[in-house]
Amino acid sequence: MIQELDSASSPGGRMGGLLAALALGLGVAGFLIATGVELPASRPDDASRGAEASSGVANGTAEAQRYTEIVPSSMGKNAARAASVEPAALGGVTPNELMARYGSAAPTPGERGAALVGRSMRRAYAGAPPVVPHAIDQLGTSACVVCHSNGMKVGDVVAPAMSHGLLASCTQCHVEERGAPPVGGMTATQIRGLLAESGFEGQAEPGEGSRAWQGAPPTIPHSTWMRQACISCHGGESEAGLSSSHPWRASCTQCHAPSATLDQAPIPATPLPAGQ
Amino acid sequence: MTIDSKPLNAFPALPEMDRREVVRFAALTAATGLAGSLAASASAQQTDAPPRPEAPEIDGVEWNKAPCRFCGTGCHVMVGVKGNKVVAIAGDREADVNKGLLCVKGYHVGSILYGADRLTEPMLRKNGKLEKISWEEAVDIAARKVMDAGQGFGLYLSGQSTIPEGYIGQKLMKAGLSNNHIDANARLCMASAVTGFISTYGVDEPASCFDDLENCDVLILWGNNPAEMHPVLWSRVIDRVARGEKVKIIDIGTRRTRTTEHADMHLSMQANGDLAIANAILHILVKEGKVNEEFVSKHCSFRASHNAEGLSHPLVHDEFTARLAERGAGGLKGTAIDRKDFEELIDYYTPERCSEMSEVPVEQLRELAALFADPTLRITSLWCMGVNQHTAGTAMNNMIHNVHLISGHWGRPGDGPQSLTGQPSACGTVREVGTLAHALPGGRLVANDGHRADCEARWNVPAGRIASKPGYHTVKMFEQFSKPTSEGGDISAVWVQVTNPGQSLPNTKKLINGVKAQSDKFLIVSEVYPTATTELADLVLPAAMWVEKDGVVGNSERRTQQWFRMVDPPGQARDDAWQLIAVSRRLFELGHAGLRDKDGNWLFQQLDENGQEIEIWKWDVWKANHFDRNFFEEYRPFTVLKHKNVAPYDLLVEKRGMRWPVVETSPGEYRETRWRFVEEDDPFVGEGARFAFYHSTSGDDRAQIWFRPWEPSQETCEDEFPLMMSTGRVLEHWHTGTMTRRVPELARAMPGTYLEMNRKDAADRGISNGEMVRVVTKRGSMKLPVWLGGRAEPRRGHVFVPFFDEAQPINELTLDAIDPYSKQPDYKKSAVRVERLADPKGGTQ
Amino acid sequence: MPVSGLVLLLHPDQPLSPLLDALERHPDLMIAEPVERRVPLVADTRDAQHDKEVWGWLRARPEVLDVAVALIHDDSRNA
Repeated sequence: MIQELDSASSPGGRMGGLLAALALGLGVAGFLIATGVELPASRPDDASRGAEASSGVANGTAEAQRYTEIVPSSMGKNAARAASVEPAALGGVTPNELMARYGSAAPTPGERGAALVGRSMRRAYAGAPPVVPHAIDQLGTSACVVCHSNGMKVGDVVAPAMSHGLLASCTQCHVEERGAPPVGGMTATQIRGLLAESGFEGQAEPGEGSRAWQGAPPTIPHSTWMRQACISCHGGESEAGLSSSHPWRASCTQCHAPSATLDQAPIPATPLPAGQ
Repeated sequence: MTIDSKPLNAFPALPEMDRREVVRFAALTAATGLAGSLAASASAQQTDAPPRPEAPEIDGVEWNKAPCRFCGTGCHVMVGVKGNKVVAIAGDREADVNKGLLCVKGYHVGSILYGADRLTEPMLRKNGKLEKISWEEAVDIAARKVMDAGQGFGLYLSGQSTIPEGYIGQKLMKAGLSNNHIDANARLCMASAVTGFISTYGVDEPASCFDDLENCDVLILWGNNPAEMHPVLWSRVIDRVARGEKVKIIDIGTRRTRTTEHADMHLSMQANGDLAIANAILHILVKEGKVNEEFVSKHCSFRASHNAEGLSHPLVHDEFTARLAERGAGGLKGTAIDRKDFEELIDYYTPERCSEMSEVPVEQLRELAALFADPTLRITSLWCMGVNQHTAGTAMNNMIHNVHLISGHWGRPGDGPQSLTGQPSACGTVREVGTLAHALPGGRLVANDGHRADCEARWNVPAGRIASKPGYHTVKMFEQFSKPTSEGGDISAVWVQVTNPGQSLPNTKKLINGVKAQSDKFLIVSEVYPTATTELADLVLPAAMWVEKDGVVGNSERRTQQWFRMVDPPGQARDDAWQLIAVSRRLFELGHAGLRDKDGNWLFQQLDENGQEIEIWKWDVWKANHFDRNFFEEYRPFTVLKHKNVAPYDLLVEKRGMRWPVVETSPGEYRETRWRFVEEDDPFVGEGARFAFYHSTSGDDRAQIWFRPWEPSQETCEDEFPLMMSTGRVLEHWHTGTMTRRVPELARAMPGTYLEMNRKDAADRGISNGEMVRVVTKRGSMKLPVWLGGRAEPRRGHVFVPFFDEAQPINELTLDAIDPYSKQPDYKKSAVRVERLADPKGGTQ
Repeated sequence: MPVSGLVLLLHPDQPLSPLLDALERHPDLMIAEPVERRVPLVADTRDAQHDKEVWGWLRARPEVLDVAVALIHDDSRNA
């Protein structure tokens, strides 16, 4: 192609030719950068990554597996991808390293138990808005958002991201665990004496979601109303007992289905027509 | 083989509690749950395969709808019930009002049933102590006391009484005992709004609805704090702002609150400055020719308490107000005045003068008026106790209607005045059923011959059964109850249901505390927990609460909403409605003629399909059935007279409430009304009329624009009492806190009351944050801790005390002066002095 | 100091009263109401070694087919 351009004689033609070469060159370079292939490419015969984009993909694609074959098969990278995709594409971290760094084996029952107990300390029942375990700015809500919009972890202290979308009046639902107002010199015991005890037993947090078979993604065992942001409790920077083993996968509901019993969506279930 | 362990959520975070106990309980819960689910799935699979490791806990929670027990917003909640107990609450996503959102009280409303000291047995005070008695005895004692007291008996109901409860009480008193001493606690919160509506439009209750919140461009808050008091409604507005919509929020008051933090402009005013601010707006609109001529000329008239006959023009303001003072408050109808008269009087209220009266800068007054002058804007005004609990409350209500009417900001979505209610059924029960000393159901009056005859016919009682003289309003009733008989205290017995006057009445020592010592005064209290009122009671009747009984209530936007009983009441606690029925039956058995209708039948007789009488006075019969529907449907036809048609009960069962007037558009098809008096939405406005105030006091479909002069507050700040005290509420506690202080999350967040002071005022007196001080008024004194820099700050010269705390009942110190029309007391302006404990009398700066 | 919530699956053919007596007398176990053939209980033990011993004891009983874990809380693992 370069030879072709050199042979162009007219100025307009040369300009046009240069532009075309530039465009083409950028296109090819971009393509090659994207696929991480060095110039000139020596492509293996198994062209499953569709390297022949300009000439169309016809041969060398992997055969799709039947559903019954998925479980026993190993669904790792094929040889071409393993060779061609450099760790650089993943920010320098291999999936195994990701796993080591952010994931963990799923939490042990002990860790989960501890996390659930901790949660229930701050909530009257499963689904109640938690009380705030620290002092707050009494007036505005902008201070809340600083730590709780994206979540934060400083040492062992976790400021979870809001599990629901931004609502403008945080203190409408979240009050302090220990109120700020002065209590006139009363001792904690005296205050307790004034506050009558309650026999309310709130619905406990559910255990794990059900799995269709061992290794299947568990269903969501709790209602997702006000708990749409899964990373709030299950993300990489959440409490150890509840954190997901794969927090970098951001589209949770792709695999984890909402609970039929606990989701209070008022959508009536219509039965399938008979015979299907 | 079962373990006796403490409920998981009782005081979970206090250091004294055994964390290990909690963990053991958690482990037990988990194990039991797992055992249950494994057993269930095993029997389903009919196999002995090893248990699947991740089965969810057995649910078994049944969800049903109910309106929240708390405020006048009327959010709907879903109540999760398991094993005859409430275990969880969720916001009802199908509800128009809150769309799945709740406030912290709503989220914890399930806990209110389970306070440890719940009243479960009827009790009679013998030798100063309350002792348990049977229901049979209790009903008999109550009936005899009612009978003996005759016209000295008063029934005190509540804006938290359900509609059937209020209807039964109303019928008993008015149609049975011929006794008009029936009033309700809404007298202390909404009465001025009622008189404001009636004097302006001729009929009570807001013309608009909460939909205004989604449609307004400007939101004006007249002395209220919705961020804490109507949080879900507040969220509807500020979430719009958070999403990028332009809504200008204007906050008018004597304190900066959480609401102020979201406001674009704050008008910090002096006590009674609201009258001046509103008059300034009227003045500016008139002067600048920004009156909406079309609206005013077609749909409004001008009114004052008295006319200007004989006075020379142009009218001199002070001459006219002298006439008003001389001739008295007059009635709600007032007298017609010319527009010219009105404008001449308004001339007095220049921005400069109003600025002096209110201490609001002139620029702010002009800015506010400029908004009203702009016809393209949609302006919603919200107000609540700051305007209603006011010795000029009726007048101030008129003024807010005035500024909207005169500028034509009326009758479009988002454009109009909207009075907010505090209680869940002040509208539904007190105002609509008319459980007031002067009222009959459906907006009727005892003083009106035609209305009495109509009710007598509907109730099938002999002509003349209903008394024509209005009975005692709340303050008067308790005054007469507290006063010794020898001094003319002619109320000897009072029955209180679903409210706590022992803590909520102003000047409580004068109005109620004295009854305990008087042996010839008998107080019956239907309650759920020990309160300041049961402290004074002679007979205590344990009551069922919220979802322990059926109910129908009506919220602030005319939405009637219904729920069914979901759990059993504890011990011997029984429905308030049943208590009234049982006592009515006992009165009938004792031969009281009033409990017989025209045919000699019991007034509350209910017949089954075969025409047999159902023994509704028997608790088992009552509990096994649902009689709410009977009484609601008996009440429903009353609502048609003033076009407040409520929806049929069965429709309310299906829906999350319906806003009246609800009309049947075709057989079985019903339609609610969102905006009244406008052609587009109100079915009673004729075609082509655009607006019609069809209950107009001037009989010509017009609303009244009232001239109301500025007046000073009843108590003013003077040397000995240099500060002005306002009382009110906080987010975490509802009214007197009898329910919310028994919810651990709420009680710990706000354990006790405090004195809110301006930081500079505190600094002047050398008072620091948290210091105990003494608050002194003419009526007494009290020790309180000071909270500076908290969630609100009063302006200089003002202080604020929340009234939820039974241990520090601030109403012992508040003034019992009332509005002349509504008889509603002013809780917002008591003159006080603040003393440091170490240095009494030092607080005279 | 592990606290464990466990569920025992009992053998359908074995007599149960010796087991239930033994469970009641065991100092570290607290029993709850059985559901069909599953017995929920809580084991409150001193340390991991002790926990292992209790677990082993439970599994060794002839009446016990299986021991399922509902929850384990181990304070000693926290900072």
